[in-house]
Amino acid sequence: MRFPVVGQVNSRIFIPFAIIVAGAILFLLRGITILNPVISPINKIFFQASNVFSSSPKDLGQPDLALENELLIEEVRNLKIENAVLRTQVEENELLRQQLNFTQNYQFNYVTAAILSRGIDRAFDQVIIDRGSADGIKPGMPVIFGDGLLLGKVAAVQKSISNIRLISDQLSKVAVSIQNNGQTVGVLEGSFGLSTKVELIPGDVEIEPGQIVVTSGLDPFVPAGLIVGEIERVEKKTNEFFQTAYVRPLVQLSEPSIVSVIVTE
Amino acid sequence: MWHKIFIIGIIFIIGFLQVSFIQSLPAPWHHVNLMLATITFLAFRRTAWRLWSAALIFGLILDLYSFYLFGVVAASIVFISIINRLLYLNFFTNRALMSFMAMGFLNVVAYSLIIRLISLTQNSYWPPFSTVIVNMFWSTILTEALVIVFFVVQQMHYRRNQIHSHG
Repeated sequence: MRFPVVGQVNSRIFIPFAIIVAGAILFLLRGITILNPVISPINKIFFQASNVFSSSPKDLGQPDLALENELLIEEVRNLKIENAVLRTQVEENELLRQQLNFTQNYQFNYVTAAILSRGIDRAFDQVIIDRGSADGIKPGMPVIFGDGLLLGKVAAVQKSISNIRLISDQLSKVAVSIQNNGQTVGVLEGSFGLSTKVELIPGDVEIEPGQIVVTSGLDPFVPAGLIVGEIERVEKKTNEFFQTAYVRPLVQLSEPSIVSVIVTE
Repeated sequence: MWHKIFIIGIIFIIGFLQVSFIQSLPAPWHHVNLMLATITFLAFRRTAWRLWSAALIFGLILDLYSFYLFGVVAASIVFISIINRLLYLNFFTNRALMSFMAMGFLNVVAYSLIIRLISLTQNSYWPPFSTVIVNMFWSTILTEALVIVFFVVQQMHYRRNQIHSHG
């Protein structure tokens, strides 16, 4: 099967292709403020289009049930967040009573950033955001979505972009505590972008599915109380001293397009 | 002049499309490598300036969004392109579909291994063998599909021009 080389490129072949990729360019440029009035409506369209890619097949054709389900999931998530925040506040109140001179202030400095890409190496679960060291971002700072849902931590920074390692990445490690009776602490580790788990929990500690996992505050830059997820299942083998708790994030980690970095001194 | 600017513009757009859009798609679609498919396609052109332009531009765009030592990825892509050109001039001279596909396969394997080696030197991490193989499998299948599409479009375009010139 031979073909001779065509000297001139026929622009008619490339025009539909160029239109599609020009859309992608606008998607990429959405972080630039001056273009926001133009880009935002297009972003919404792209975001809705990307939801089509990520929605499950059973949602298709049942818009009302799907919408209702979505609203209920959202409500449950909000309630869990509220519950976790309240529990954290109760514990803080106890600490405050013990240490009268101590005042905990949750007025963090946030840097809002747009996600530009998932990075060039998909062996890692990471995203690239459009803010960097020029905005005060440093490695180790936590990245959150919405009302304090932890997405990951800053792994590396350049002047104008940062690499965020999501909590599901295999190299991710976050100090967490489980909101059970004993406030069990542990290290949350990712597993190839598929799951997150807390290993080496003593076997006699009582852990149940549904309990909320929050950051413990033992990591540098990461404040306590950021919501990581909820316990999905617990793996405890007989005759073993330790158990493993699998944690399901309360937000789909690939979902957000806008995130916040908590900038602390 | 305008023709060359147009081609370079298209190369830029393909680069950004790969980095910002394709890489964000859910599995397995994010394994599509539009850049390597384009390089495979351009390696079979008589003149090589498109290939060198594409290799350099793709490499620099990837470097912009990578946290590896700046220039490493660009050097890798240019290296792959040089190997492509040598293979085209000495082995895959018949420009058959199988030659396209063989070159595409070699490109995917070479690029995947180079990226893994760069990652190993920078992150001191090598993913499990099964993960590497599965990723390479999907990348090969989807990129080869794209190479076939490029080949068919090229053939259709040529045949249409032939009909017009004879008609």
